[in-house]
Amino acid sequence: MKTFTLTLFLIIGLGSNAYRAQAQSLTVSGKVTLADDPGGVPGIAIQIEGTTRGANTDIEGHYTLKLNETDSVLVFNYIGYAKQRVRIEGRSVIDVVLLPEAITKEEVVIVGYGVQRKSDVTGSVGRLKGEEVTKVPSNNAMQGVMGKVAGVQVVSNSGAPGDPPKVRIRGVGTINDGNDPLYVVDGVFMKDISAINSNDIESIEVLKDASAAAIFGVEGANGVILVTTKQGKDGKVTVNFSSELGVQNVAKRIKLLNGRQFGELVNEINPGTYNNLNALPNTDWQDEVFKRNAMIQNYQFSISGGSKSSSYYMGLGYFNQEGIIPKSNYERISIRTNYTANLNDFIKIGTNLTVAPIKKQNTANVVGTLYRASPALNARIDTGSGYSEVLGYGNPLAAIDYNNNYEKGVNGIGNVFAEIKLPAGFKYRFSYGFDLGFNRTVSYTPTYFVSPSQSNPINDLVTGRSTHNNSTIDNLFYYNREFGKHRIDALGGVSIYSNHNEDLSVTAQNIIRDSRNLWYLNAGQVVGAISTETASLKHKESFFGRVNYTYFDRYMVTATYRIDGSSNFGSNNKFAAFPSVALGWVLTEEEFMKNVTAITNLKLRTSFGKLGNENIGVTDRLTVINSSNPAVFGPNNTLTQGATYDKTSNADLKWETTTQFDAGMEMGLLQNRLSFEFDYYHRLTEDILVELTTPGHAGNGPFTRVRNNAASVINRGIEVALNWRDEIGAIKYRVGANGTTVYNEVKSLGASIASDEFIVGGGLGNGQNVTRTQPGLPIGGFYGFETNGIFQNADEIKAGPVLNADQVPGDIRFKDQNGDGKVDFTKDRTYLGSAIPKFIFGFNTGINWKGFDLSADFQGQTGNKIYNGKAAVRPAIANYEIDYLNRWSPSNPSNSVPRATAGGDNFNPSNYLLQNGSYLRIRTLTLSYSLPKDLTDKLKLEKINVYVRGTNLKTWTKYTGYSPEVGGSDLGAGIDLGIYPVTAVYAAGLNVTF
Amino acid sequence: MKINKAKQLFAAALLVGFVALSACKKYLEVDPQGQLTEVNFFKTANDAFLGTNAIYNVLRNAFYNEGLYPILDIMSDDTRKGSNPSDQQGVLNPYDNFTFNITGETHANWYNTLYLGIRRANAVIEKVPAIAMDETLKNRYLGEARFLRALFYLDLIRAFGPVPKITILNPPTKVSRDSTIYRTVILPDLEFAIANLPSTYTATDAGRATKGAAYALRARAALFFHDFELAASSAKEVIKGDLYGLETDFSHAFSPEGNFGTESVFEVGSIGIDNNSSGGNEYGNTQGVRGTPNRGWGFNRPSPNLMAEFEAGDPRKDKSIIFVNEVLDGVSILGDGSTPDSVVDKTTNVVLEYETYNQKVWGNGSNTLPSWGIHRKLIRYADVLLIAAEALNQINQPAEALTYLNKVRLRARHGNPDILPDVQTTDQDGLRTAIYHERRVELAMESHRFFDLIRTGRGPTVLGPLGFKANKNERLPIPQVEIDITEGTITQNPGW
Repeated sequence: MKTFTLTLFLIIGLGSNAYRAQAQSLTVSGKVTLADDPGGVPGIAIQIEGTTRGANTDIEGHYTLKLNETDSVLVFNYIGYAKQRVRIEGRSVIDVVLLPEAITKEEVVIVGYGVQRKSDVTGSVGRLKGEEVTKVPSNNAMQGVMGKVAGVQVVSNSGAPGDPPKVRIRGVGTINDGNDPLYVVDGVFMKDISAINSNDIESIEVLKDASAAAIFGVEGANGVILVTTKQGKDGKVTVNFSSELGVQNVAKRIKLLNGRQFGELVNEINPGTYNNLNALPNTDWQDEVFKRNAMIQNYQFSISGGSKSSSYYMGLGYFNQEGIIPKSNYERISIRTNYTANLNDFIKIGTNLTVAPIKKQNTANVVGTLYRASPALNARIDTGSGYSEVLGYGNPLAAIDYNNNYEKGVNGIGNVFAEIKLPAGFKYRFSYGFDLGFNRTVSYTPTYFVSPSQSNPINDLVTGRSTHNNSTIDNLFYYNREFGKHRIDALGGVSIYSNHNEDLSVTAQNIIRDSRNLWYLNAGQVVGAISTETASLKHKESFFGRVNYTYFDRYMVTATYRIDGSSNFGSNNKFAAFPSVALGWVLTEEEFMKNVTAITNLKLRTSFGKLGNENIGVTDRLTVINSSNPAVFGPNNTLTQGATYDKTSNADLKWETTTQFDAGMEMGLLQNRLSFEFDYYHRLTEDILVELTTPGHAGNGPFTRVRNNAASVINRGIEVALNWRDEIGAIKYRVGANGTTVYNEVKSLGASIASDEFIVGGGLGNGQNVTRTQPGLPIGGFYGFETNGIFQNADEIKAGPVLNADQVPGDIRFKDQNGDGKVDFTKDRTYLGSAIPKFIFGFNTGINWKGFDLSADFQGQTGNKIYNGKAAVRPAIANYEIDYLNRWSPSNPSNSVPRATAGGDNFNPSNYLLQNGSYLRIRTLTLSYSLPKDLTDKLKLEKINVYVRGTNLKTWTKYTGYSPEVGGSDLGAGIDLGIYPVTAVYAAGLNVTF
Repeated sequence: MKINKAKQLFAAALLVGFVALSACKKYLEVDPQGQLTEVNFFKTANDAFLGTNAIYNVLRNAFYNEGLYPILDIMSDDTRKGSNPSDQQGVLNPYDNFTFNITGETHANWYNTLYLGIRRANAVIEKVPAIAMDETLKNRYLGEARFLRALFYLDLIRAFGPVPKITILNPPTKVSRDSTIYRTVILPDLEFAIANLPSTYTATDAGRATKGAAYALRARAALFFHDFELAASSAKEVIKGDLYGLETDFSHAFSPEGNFGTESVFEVGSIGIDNNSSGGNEYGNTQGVRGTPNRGWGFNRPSPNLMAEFEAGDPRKDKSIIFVNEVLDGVSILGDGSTPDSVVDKTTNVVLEYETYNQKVWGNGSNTLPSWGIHRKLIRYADVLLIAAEALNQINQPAEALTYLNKVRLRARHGNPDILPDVQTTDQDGLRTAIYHERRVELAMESHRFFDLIRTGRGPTVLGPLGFKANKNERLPIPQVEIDITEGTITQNPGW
């Protein structure tokens, strides 16, 4: 660390020395203006080519420079505008107008802790503009990224309002539960961006390779997503209003047996259960539960503008989504204020701030239940509670009815910063960033009785309060300078981070009435034994630096180094270091390419580096004492406190590391009408942090898992993005496609865990585990028996091999993998496939004619498997999917569907319940119309646009569940235990700017 | 001028960086919030007290009760699964008819929970000796921990056969099964417990393990392993003196009237509330009357075969079994409307079951909560008497055996001279049969029957018609996940 600090000093020191003025005689002065702002702008850098001398424009855009006799060229440089070289040729006044880079095709992109010329970027960065993100009606911007950026997989874990999707960049490197990429919103680190209104987003950049993400060190291993919010632009005031209104419906129903079909099947299992099949009710629980045309609304009003001394953007948004299951909804108000002020020609201050009050209602999780509930029952009855008894699972309608779970809270996310321009190309930036949240939850369950296993003898109220407080202080030093053909852009920084969470939950019983007005602790008796308050505190400290060097606009090097220290690590592993280096070569700048006119732009780049993941709770390396293990003693049954060790821990736990190599190419052809980007990536993730099932004899009790550093995994593949845009007469059209291949393989299992052959995972919650992670195969691969048809008769069973002697005709024949003549659990289970898609793709197309614009986005994936876990877990007789109509019976010698059973060996983990998860989906289809300019001018409007849009309109898949987007923790990914269905949304919207 | 100002700011910025650097060491030392860790626990006498209580907590864990459902009784000929035929059919029917497989969850949950108890006992046994505190009290805590560890291990080895022998807090993953646990853990633990536990506690500590409980548990363990001398001598240690006796009314041996009463050698205190942290025990709720009145889920339904075992007029039949339409504590038992009143085998026309419930978990009140407050009587004095009788008969002391057997029958008779006459035979086989019979009717649905059949080798003959397979079903299978996680250092039981 010391060495590093020294380096930081050296860079700074050198800069200061370089500043020292030399003897000067001549003077040149002038005014620099921007093409779109004739007023003159401060802070534009002017440099004498080939030297380290230069100056900045003052508040009115004026500059003065002393010259040596040998000085011949001035270089004018301002971010966002094209650099200009002007020969002095003896003049003493030189005025210059800078052109925006959009005109000169020199784009600036956002990178970690700063901006960079697009042409100088050596890392692999995916970009998406704000308007693309808002094309999908959702509170979460990542829903809009799905299918748009190569290498990024976005999976809707659930269609429940407000639930964040699962995001994976370049395959599954880590298997840490819930391990999403790091989000950096205007410099603030976050794990979830649900509180950020998509309408306020200017751009999203996905940092995919080590070079781009390395500046985020121990948090960068899963990739980094930079979110930049809108800023006011110098010039006139812009007012924007947009509204969208849509309806949601379940995109697809599962085909299940009807009442009579189910009755027949039950009679085969338990003869005589239903004597009169014709009299059986037929309840379609999906009809009973799912709402039709659930509303989704989104309104946004914003004003932005600016002058030379300040700029502002203010947004007010309202988002409201009803769930398709009753009693679920999400409502968010978002208030955004971004403000920047230039105090003088070298100090700039500003703030970016969002305040987002959120309200949410969570419903009972009934998706697995309504799948299994018997259709041969009436959902409602006239007696008792009014709800029928659904054996084993409970009545889903009653579960919804008696569940009252509300959440409300306020999130405040933002930063305040000051930037000081220093001489000689230096800049200092101080930033204080924060992410605060206050939440209140209330959950009330009335006294009710539906059936013995679905009842609540005494009403109860659980009320919760939680706060989180993340804050970051960044001290950043920038150095940006050109010396002739050399361009240096350097960054050094120190960052301090703290994270404090507090969580209170109090339970009361015997609330005096059911009324919502009384859902306060005062109205009942507090139950101390089950009221809890927990807290966590984490500190981090980081030191980092980055140098970009560009020579002659052709050759680039980027070197990055970060050291992270975290209080979550034990004293033996406090600090971690993450270096990376990248090279780039712009071939089109070379002389030998000048004649190749077809190729407008061609860049090769490669990077190599290390990243980390520190998702460890302090309690993962220290066993904590659980104080709520009371005993009951004495004739008065006195609850007596008990406390002891909680689950086992791993003292040597450390961060996981990802070493990543990337080689890529960017190409623009035919005046950039055709652009093409290609990347090869190779990631090796080691010491993966994962919660593992411990053996029973460890004494952690059922269903307990402990975090370990286990396994190393590689992910490699290629990413391709291709875009074509052109126009034929008045018709403009565009076509784009992107694809990513993922090859995932476990290289080895960690030495720190005893397992050196495999890790068991993918628990279904019924004692069965359906995945196994073993070297040579994808992580969390499905594991079980391979089926080999159905036993047709007693002779076939006799001939074997059988799993056990109880098997009868109609049972699944499991394959004897090792050919020893018998089927057993130890030797004959095998790898059955992976939940990780081999290929993820998206393509989009659009056509525009006289204000009409029709666009379509498609996305999909292939090569993954889904375990239909909801069919496996059946404590009581559960409903079956319609493939059971073809079940084996003596008269229907099916060789694919076994006989009807309530459970047993046919439900052993096997590929019988494994399905193909490939799909292709029309993600969005939009038709919009913008009023012609002469009309908007008359209306004194800048732009007016109306559209209709369909989202998730159609999905082509063989998977029988609601959606092939099945998330889950990564050792148990791709297991469908009843996910909240994805919805198809039809929406219409209006967009006005004036 | 401007430049100077900038330089000052620059220096200030550097200073901020420096302060951050020098602060770094301390800044990264953060203790867990709101909870102690292993580093600072088991340091005081009160820690020892809390740690010992936490072992007892496992006795109310829902999965301590045979993985939630009383599978030992369901596997025996005493009961059938119960509830509605389809309820938990996939989970529990396999135990009723011995078709469960090695990935079944119920016995895996039981296995895990018994080791949870062992871990907590090991924590006390490993850490408490180093605490500076009153030595007598310290040894009492250690005695309680070792009694409870023996209790958990006895269930494990009776149900699963040899299992990993874990006597330390943090064992390795790869361990193998150990066939010496009875000799090397249970007997030494109980010897220590006998030496260090008091015979009685002050009333507020009722429910803690006593010297008598340790003797009784040793008698139970010894009988299972055919160590008849030790079983007889241990049981007689409980019997001698007047600390224990039989409740006058058989019903009170289970009902709240008998909580911590004369017949209770070791029982699990609980409170009628529906969660473990508040003191509830799901044991009664899983078996309570289903429907009207609502006292639970109605699993573990007494079989016609058990009913037939009771001698004519034996009052214990009515006091052990709730029949539909009977009136109990003034409450009419109407049962569950959606459950058939009887289940008949279609081919043989034999009645397989009637809608009945386990009266030993009956809790009076107005909802299911009293069922959560039923104290599970893990060791009853009647059981100890019958262990003594059986062991003594095995070592050819029939006369003394008869006195203990007939004490149990005398109480059951409840003053009615026309029923349950004293057993007279001194023929070893005849007396053994009589004791087997007495155990079955006296201890019905208290999780003894299955182990009794296994330890006496009667499994195949008695349970064969229900699906029991010899050389396989004597033991539950080791959960497959244990074999998987240890990569086979733990092996499967024969026949599985």
